[in-house]
Amino acid sequence: MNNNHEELRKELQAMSPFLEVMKTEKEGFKVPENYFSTLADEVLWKIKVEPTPSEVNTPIRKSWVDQVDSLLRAFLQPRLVLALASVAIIIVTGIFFISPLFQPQDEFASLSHAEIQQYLFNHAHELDPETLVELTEQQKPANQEIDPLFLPKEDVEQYLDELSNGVDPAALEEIF
Amino acid sequence: MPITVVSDEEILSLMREPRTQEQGFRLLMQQYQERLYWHIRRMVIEHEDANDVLQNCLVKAFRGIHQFESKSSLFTWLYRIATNESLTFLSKKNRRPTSSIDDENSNLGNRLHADEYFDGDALQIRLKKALNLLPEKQRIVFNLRYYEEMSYQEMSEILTTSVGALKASFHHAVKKIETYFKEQEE
Repeated sequence: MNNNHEELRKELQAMSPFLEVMKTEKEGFKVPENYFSTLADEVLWKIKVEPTPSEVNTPIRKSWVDQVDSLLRAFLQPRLVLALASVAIIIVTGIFFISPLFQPQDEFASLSHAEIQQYLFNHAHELDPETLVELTEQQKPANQEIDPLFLPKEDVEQYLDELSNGVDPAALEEIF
Repeated sequence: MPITVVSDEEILSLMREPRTQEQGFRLLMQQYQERLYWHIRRMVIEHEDANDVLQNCLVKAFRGIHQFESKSSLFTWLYRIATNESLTFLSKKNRRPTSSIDDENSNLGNRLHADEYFDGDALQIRLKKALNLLPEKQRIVFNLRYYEEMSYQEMSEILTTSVGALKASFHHAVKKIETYFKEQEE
């Protein structure tokens, strides 16, 4: 070591006298008190506690009972159970809304026109006249065009009579 | 407590017997723990990091002692493990995102100022910053030669590099440090 020291001193003198001078100063690093006296115990404890890499990497052969047991344990982990329950709720809710079994049924769809008419005739006194008028207005097509070709002849004659009341026949002849 | 100097052969024979393994390991630590610590500390700078790296190194030495073939000295083998562990630690640490080398170096200054296990002066902090700028291999060579006063032959066995290459590496490291100091003074 002394030989090395002397050799290094000469080497530094030749290369960098500044670094040779700096070498005499203290380096500045410190260690906690009693660090080296307790280190061996710490390292030996670590060796006992930590598994060796071979222990970690060695696969352990399990019997089928152990495998089923570990599968069940894995399946019954709270996080997994919660996730499965959430998925089940979503599926059941989806079926409820999509399936026709759960759709609201139109109860009058199966009734014939005659049956409805009969029912209304029998229960006319129970219905509110204003509601009936309102429903009639709703069902009447807006701006309904009437084709005169399909009007009954009697209706047309009655309409013309009503129009010609109070009109001078001579004036009518002049128009036509 | 006076330190008893025990030969490597004695340590090895104790460690190879399960009954005396712990006793042998304690002797190994008594003999080499301080030198290994300072070697690692100079590489990783902070005590906590040095402690982690040293413990890993010693655990590996304990578990791998049966693979030690006595082709080199126990000391060389232990230094090799310590060097590799330090480099592995530094490469993991350097993977963390940092802004630039300059930022990292000024960060080192702040870390040293705040470190309760560092009481070096401004000049020492500047030297640590200069060392921090060296490539890792060059820094190891400088530390082993400058602080530990190791011969080039011993270094060659640890680092498996030729003596000539090590001399050149040390020379480059010294010149770079001098340049850094000159630049800082300007």
